[in-house]
Amino acid sequence: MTSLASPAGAVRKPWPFAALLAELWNDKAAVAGLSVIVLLLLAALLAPWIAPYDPAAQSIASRLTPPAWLPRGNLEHLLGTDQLGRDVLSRVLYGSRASLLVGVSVVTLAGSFGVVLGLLAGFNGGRVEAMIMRLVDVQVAFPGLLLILLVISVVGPGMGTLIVVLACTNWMIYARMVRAIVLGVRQSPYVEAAEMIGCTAGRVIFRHVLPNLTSPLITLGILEFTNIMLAEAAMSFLGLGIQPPATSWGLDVANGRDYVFVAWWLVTFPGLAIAATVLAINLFANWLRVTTDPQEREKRFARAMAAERRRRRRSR
Amino acid sequence: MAIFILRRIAQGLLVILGVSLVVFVATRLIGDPVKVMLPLSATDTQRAAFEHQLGLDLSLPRQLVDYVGSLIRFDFGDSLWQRRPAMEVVFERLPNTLLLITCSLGCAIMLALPLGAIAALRPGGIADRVTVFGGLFGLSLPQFWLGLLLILVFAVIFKVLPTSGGGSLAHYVLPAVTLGIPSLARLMMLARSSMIDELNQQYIRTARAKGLDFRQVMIGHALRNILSAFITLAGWEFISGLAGYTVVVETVFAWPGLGLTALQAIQRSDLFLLQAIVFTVAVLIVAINVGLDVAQKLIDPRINLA
Amino acid sequence: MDMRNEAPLLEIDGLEVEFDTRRGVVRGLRGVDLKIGRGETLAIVGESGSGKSVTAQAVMGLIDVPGRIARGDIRWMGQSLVDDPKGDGRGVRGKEIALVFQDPMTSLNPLMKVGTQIAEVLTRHLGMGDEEARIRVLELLEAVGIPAPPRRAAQYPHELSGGMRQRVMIAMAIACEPKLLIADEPTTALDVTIQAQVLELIAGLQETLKLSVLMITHDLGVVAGLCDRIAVMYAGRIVETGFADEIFERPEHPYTQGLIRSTPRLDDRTERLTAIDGSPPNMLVPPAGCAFRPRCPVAGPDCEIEPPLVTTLPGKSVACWRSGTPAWPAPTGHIAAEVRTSPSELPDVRPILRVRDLGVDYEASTPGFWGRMRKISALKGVSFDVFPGETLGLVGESGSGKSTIGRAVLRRLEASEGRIFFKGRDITDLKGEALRQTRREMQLIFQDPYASLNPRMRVLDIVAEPLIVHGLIRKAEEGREEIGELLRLVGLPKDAHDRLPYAFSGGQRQRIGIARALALKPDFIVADEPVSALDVSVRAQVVNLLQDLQQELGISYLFIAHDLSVVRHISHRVAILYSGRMVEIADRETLYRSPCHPYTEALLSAVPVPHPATQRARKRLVYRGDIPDVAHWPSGCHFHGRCPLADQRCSIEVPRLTERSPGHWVACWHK
Repeated sequence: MTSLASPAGAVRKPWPFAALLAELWNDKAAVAGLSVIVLLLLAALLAPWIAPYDPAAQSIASRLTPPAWLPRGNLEHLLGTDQLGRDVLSRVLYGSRASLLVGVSVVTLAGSFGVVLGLLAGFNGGRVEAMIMRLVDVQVAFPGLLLILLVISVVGPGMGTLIVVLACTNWMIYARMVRAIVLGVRQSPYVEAAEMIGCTAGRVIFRHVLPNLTSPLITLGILEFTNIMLAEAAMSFLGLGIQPPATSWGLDVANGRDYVFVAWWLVTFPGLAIAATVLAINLFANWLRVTTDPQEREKRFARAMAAERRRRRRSR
Repeated sequence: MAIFILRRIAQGLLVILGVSLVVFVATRLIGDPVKVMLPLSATDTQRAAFEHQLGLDLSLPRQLVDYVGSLIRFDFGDSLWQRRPAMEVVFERLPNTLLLITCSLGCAIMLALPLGAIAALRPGGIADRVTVFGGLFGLSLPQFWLGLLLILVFAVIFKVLPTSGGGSLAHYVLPAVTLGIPSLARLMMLARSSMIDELNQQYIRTARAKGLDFRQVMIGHALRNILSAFITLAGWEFISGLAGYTVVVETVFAWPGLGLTALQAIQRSDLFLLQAIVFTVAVLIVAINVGLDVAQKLIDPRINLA
Repeated sequence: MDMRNEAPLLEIDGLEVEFDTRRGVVRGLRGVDLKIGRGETLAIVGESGSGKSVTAQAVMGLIDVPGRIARGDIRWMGQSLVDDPKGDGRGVRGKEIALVFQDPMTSLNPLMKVGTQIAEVLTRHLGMGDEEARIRVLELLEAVGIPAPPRRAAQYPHELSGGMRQRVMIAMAIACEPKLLIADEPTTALDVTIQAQVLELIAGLQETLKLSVLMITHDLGVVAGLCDRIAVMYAGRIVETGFADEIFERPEHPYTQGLIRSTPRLDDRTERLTAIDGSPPNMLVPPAGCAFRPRCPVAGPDCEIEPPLVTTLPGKSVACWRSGTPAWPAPTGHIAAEVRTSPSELPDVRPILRVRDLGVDYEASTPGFWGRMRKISALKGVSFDVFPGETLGLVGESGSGKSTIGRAVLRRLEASEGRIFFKGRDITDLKGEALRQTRREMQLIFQDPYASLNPRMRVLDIVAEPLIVHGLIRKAEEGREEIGELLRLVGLPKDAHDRLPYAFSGGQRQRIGIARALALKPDFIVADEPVSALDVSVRAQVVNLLQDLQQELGISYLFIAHDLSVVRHISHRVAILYSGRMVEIADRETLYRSPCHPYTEALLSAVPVPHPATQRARKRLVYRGDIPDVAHWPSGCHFHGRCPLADQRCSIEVPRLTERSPGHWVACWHK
């Protein structure tokens, strides 16, 4: 590291892509997570082509068919049907679209708003900062979900309402993080150096400060995505989110709730889809968080080595 | 100390002000309470009478004044659904919710601290990896689904626990577990990560160099020093339970608490009851926050009294 | 002092410590042998990464993941501490061997009263009851010179000053009357005058408690006054060990020779410091053979085999095939000191920078319901000139306001009073574009070579940025040639252009920072502690570079530092600051030979000289008390609380700078 002769110094990108993949491969949980994420994305994109049925198509004749591997089940409905004879597999595939759409829109909206306010606070300081951060403090202490319920009950439920309301109540964490990073970086000597050599404010911001935000924002965005997904599912479950005839995993669990004693598959599969997706994202984000932080990354390696040594000692 | 508490309370009043503003805007400006609350078949005269009864025919500033007045008196009018003062309903249901949260969070705290601390002893070891995976798993379960699964398994298949409702101690088990699992996961992860950070501190090396035994280093120094962060998160878990998660859990288990009442109020378009619930919860949150700040101050002498 | 026939207390035998990193195994210690006898004081001297602290940690059982003891043994009175089934250090650690760490800020538990932290040791090792321990704690605090022990014992670490905290650490260490005290850079984080207090305390305790001391330090001065024997470490091995006087008088290993020569001395001034080229090796791939070979001027083919540590004289061992060969040219004499007279003494020279009555306030919130902002004055009434081609050294301890002056002069901080003239023009109120243009002619060199370069930018982009933002070139590539010239000027390799900062060592990074500062061809540079983060051997390189650049380009420096030896070496004139006021300013020789202000005297006497005989003979003035906190300055002369000459007037009236002899200004009522 200290020697100029080290070949690593000549490489511009600190971590070449192949090495990164190799490192990912070492964490099997993260690999599993990433695979599930890819599958989910494919399912959402290709739902119209891969789903065996129209998710809304009812068929009274084949209502409450159990999954294929159960005695009364058949191969036409792999995961069975609901009380109206709708194919559960198709509904699960289509349901991924709602989760993704709400998640991505809310993270984008709340993220942009929070980042802008965080930047304003971090760069301006003084009164602007005090006002923005006070707003954040106050809103963080709001009775979140209850207030959302109140607003939705007045405005009327729907996907648009849901997105707007969730964005309005989830921007604060971005603002806090962005401000903290901006303040930290602005204190750093290299930013002072940039100002000393006469960089304009814009150059300082874009060239020296903002690049530090990328990787923490990506990690935060991913984690927030899972929170939004769970919130969307919960709201839809309560009947205040996605409205029929559209599909959503939370909505499907609510539909199956009354049949939980006779048809367990109705609540199980959509719920499983939510849990698996969130878990997959969490596992991957956990890996990503460590990997983008050089110090954590070094620690992770050292711990793995120490565990390896302990294992060898024990087996000897 | 008194000044410190006063200041936090002032900040809390700001929160309550914000909440009431949102409620006012939502109910009077965006929505039309008359349309929401009366059935579609109501005649125009009925609507006008109702509007007059609620004071909605007055000018907006006048409405605002009345509204603030009712806030100060803690009087939110009668619940349309229950036909009695909204606050009465709130006070009847609130204890159930508080008991449920206290039970579930109490268990979560007692489990999270030792589990997180054990995981932190050997980061990367088996206990740690199990804890991290378990934590991430716990965070990934949607509560409404977890609750239904638990009912399915313990009430329908094994028939060992009641499916829903309140009353006996057995009724507490499933809702408390459902409500507590994500909290447990978050608290455990926090205990783990802050314990790892703490064990890497220089003063822990000092304690070890002093020749203190393992128990003294772990409990006397490290564990004691993560308490402040841990208590803060535990307080937040209580708040988020109060402010939302209970709605879902109480709905699944038909638990006669504030959350279920809130949902029923929405379904019956009972805006006054909903308002009363939102306010009560906001006031509670502010109180808990002040309590948390004071607790932190007591634990950590470095926090400035101002 | 002869302990050759006595069994040693501590014996380290072929100790190897390795660290697992993503890039491979870093070899922290590569076979260390060491013995410490009863009542002996041994110093391990080395630069960062030499393994000196790792050795101490290994003894205390503090090697954690990713490190591990790979081979070797540590024995305490014959008992192995490495092969320790219960892992508790056999009740030795903390009781018979005690440790004092470098940083007293982080080494104490922030949430526990200091008295309790000391009492813990007593209950653990001596089985004392609470009351007994409480009384003993007070005795201990008294013994380490903490005033009002009952009050202090009930306080938390953040309520104590740095020096006070280090005293608490020492009280904790001596609580069980240990046989061996390991002090890991115990004074590095402290100010010079406080360092003198702590060193005196350790020396005193050693005497009364018959302690053995293992002192770990990078500072040869600290070693000189205190230690019987010295072990010099380089790249994870001991390269030379022997009696202190011997080593300082006749260093045999080329590295030891270089280390002693590259350390500037307070009492002696050579024209040019001996600099050891290059930087310590990367311990991921230690060079084959002698680790010092790549930097050694007398290395030959035989050095490709690692030399063993062999005894050359009684009590002296060296690991070098050419031990005793003079490796560096003899220092050029002291005559040069007089040759480079300060330009300020020449007639008709206008100062490039003129500062008059400069004051800087900052705002802090006060306790209270509304938390009003209160003005706290960090600097007051400071006046000085800097002449073209001259270096003005600005010296002070923490809180003296020396960095504040640097930032105010560059207009990074707003002056709340006074005027600043640059090249005859008042720049105190310049704003916007005018300020930006003025700053082309004045630049800043930073203390921290790691944090002052944007880790995401190539060296070429870093050095080209000033040229780009001032419109001299449009793209970094256009300036490749010009920047290559700059990099050559500061002594960086040709292929440095396209690398990222992390590929460079601390000294090289500092050179990149200097190249960036030079890009706009400034006439005046503020150097804010430019060498204090660097290792001794690298420090000399950078000091020499700064001097060469001055000779070549005629730049004026405002050289801010806390190290009086370095300042003496590089400056023409020196100003001493204390708690936000300038107390004395004079040309170098006057100030160092006949200081006038009592604080200057104390400061100079507190600086240890890296030469045992000289250091022992020096008269030391150690004044009690702490440096006042910025927020709570005393009235009158800020030094009056610690000053032996102070009378009532000093505590009321602020003394102004007055001229005692031409060019020598002092702010004191008495001298």
